[in-house]
Amino acid sequence: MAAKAPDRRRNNPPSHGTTAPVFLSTSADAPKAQQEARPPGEIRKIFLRTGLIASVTGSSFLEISPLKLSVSVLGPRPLPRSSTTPFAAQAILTTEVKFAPFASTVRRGYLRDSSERDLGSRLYQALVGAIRRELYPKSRIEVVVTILDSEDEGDEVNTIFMEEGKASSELKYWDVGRAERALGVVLAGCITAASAALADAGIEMYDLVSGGVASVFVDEADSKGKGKDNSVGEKLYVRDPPVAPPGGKAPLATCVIGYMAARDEISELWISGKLGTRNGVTEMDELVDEAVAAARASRGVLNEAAKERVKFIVGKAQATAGAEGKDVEMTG
Amino acid sequence: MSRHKIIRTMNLADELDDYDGEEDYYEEEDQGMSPEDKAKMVDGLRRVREVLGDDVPSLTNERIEETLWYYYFDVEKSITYLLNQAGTTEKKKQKKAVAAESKVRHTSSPASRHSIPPGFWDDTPFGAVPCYRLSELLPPPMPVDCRTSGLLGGSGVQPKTSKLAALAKARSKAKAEKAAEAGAESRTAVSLLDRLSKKKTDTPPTISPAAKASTTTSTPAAPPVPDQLHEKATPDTPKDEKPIETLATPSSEPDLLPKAQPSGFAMSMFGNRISGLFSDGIANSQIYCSVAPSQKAAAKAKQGFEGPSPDDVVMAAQSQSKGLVKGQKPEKNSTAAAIQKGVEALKVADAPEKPAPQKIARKKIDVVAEYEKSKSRRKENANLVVIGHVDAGKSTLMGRLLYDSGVVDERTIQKYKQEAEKIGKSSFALAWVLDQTGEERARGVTIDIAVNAFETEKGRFTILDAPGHRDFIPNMIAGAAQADFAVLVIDSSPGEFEAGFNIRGQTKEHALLVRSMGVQRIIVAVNKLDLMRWDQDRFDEIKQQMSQFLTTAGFQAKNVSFIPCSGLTGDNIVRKPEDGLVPWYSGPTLVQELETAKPVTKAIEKPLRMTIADVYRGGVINPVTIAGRIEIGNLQVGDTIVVIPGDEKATVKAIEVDNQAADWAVAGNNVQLHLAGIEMDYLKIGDVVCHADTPLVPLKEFEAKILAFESLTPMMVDIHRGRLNASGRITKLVATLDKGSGTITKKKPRHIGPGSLAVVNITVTGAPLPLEKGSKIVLRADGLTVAAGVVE
Repeated sequence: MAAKAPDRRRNNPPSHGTTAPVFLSTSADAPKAQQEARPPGEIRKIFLRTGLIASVTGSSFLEISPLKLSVSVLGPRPLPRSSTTPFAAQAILTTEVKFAPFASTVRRGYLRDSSERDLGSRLYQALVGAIRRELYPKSRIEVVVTILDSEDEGDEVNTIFMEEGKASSELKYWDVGRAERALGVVLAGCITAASAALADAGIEMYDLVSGGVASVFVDEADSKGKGKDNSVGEKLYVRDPPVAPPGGKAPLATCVIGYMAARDEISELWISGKLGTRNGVTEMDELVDEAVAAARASRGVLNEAAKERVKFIVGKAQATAGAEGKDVEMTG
Repeated sequence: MSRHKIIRTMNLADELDDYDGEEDYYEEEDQGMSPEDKAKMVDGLRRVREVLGDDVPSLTNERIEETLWYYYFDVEKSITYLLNQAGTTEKKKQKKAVAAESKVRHTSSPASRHSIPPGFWDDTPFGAVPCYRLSELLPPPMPVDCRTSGLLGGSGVQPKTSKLAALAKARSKAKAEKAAEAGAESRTAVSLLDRLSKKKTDTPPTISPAAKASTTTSTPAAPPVPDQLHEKATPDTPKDEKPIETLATPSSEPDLLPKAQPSGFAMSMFGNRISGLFSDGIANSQIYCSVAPSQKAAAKAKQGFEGPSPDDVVMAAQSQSKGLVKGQKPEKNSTAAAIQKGVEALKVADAPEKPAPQKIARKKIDVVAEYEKSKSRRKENANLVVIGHVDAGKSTLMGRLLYDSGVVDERTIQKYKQEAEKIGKSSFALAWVLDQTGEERARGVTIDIAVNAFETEKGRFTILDAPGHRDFIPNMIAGAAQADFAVLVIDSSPGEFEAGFNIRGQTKEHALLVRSMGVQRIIVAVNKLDLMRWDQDRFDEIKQQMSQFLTTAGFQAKNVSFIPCSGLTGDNIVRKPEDGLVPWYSGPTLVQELETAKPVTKAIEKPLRMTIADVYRGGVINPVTIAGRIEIGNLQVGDTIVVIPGDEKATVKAIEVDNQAADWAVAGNNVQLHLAGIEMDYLKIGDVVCHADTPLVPLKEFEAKILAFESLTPMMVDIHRGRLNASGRITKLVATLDKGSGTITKKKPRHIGPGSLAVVNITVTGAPLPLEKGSKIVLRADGLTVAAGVVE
């Protein structure tokens, strides 16, 4: 019968049938309320898990709502034997950061743009010193970060005015450093998640690197009279800053760091904005301290994630070893 | 002695023995130690021993020497190093003792590693080590440098000490801080690094009780760099309040960590791995509803694939509309009665069982009358087969003929000349006009018959250039079967004529074959006379011998003519030779002789017989085309023909005679027939085309009157009929006949001698052959033509 003949024109369904996942409630609106209530010294809650992707050596998934990103670590794998690849006494680290096309309000292209390349090189800087690369000669370690969802960090001017439906080319005062804040949060997340993924991959490191970001704001009124006298009012340091500045405040600068808490070392530092000195103390130092504090806070989550994974693996291994070890007993 | 000899005489085994791994190199290093060094070593050893004494057991002489050598006889440095080393080993020993007491295995420490007795693992199954034997891995001690000098320049902070020490330090600093607060605040750090290093001094340590508890419980001998997987890895003196405090707390209070619940998206990604962990916080089903595929769902999913795919439906509909599906009648549908009526009104007949051959407009032509009418204005067409011994110059002669009569242009010949010279066969250039395939050109031998046509003032000729080599005799027979007359080419050069004319030569065999295929007229072209300097004696010698043979072969003397010529130079082929070159010959040229040759009258009124010489796709409009020569009968457009064997019917859609469209064709024409209503699969080279009303009946067994060339007995033979060849067997020798009268001389002979006429019964081994009375056949065996004859 014709119906029984193999159907070559279609991809046949699995024999057991399939159902699509159903999301009953959207998680988009819930975190906003939390965000508002957050004191400036507290970072947003982080969800971090490792071992998401089975096909790579190590992987992790990080959520700092709304930011969602996944990190894959490939390697260490041998460098291809060819005349073009030079001998590498230390492992070659490559980092790649890519926003999914749907990750931001403005749709992104499939090719990496300049901001993604920039993030990639900063992530490289944050990680390269922490990895014991000398243990993996003639090999390559690839860190691939895919950002699935992010705060609106796109093109500064375009994004904002598209949102508001205006076509003005003028930058609003509170938009200063908007992209840096958004990208800073992303970079800090990348660093933290990449460390977790590297730990998951079993790559030896001197210490886990956690990312931290902090911004400094001033009162709106002060920002207008800025430059005439240095007697501006109290500065507001915000760890893990939101893209939109707090009410009545104008942003000054943002700092992102990659921080190895156990060694008290900074592997990556990125500051943008205007900073001066106050009472003999450079504002930059204060800002860096805030970023370090943020990084320390995220380090706790990073530790938990790394430990959870190890427990998971060890538990599994013991379960299998216990099951196998009982019945096999050889003598002689 | 040359270097090669050294290598050759070298004993490889000895050379390899000399190299014995790394040990050798170390030995060499020792040997490299100068006498002064050795003296220094002895002196140094003595001095170290004086300081350290002899009672330390781990301090062997070798170790001291090694250290001395490492520091290059700096005694002080060596002593310091050795003392340090001794200290650490002492500590390790203490630790080991503690560990042993608590019955915890530290297999990673070198001492315990070495203490495993031989045979320890003997009773352990490979790959399934029991739990109690598994070792516990300790974090590896970090290199000393890693701590002192910071990575990437570091923060300049003093190397971290133990937790207790750090706590004590922090407390003392807190006191200092309080004191400093009273006085003027002095912040002098300018650089970031200074600032980072400073911050510990100017921040009050606020350590939660939990943190205190955790730090105090930690072992005093904790490794200097904390375990990465341990939450105590957080820095000891936090400046900031809440988050840092939570960091220092153990994992029993995870809520203080800024840990988030996974979003619905994350839950869906991690699935079962984390759904249990977070089930108390968020109801799982609220976020992600993963419905397990039920039987019902599976059935539903499958249902969509039960019927034919949309493509199948469309294709079925399309094929039905074309009437390609046999015997399918449209189903009657009561709801579609109106449509049914309409369809009936159209009076479309049901599809027949077998599609009728395509109707082709046909006006009945009286072909015979037309032929008679056109005879006067048409040039007579004649097929001539070129035969002769291998390398007699058949192809070259015909190439010359075509070249001189203007069929092949100058450029083509020049091109062939260049190419032929390139492979060192310049004399073959003209032959390449007919030998088109690469193999034929490379070997310089014609393999298959080549067909070409040329026209003179008086007639049209189709050349069938037959291969001379005896391996390709079947092809030659195929060519000869289509021929009206033959051109026998003879190589006149010394020895060559004789070679072709001896018993195994093809000159004789070809002549006999063409005669037995019914060719009566033969022109003997005595070729390559330019090599003989147009020697008349040679020509006469050949003429005399050939005349004698051809007469015995059955050619009438009036039908045989001899022409001296040279294919390579072209003399006496189309043009007369230069004056004085051949003074003794005044006869016609080859072409003139061809023109005088009258083709035999064809039986154009008899039933059609045409052997298929080629089947091919004639283009988009004519998907099936056959080529061949009409042997008997006539044919016109619209005739229904049948192909034997196979009994497949077809309609002649169009006829081409010598590449010219024609309405009809008669025996002797080389035609291409474009057919309709037949697949190419049903047509085979060698099949016979007949009219549908006068089909030929294939024979499995037949009687044949044959002329034997070799001795015949009941035996296996190959039966050739034009392109057709099949294997068969002589089953019965019926009688031998008298050559002159045709009367029976002997019935049931035991064997048939060479040159005798006989009647035999032949059975075809395979499928019946399309033969009938009067079909000319050739019998071959073991690569030789053994007999030729006609079917009785």
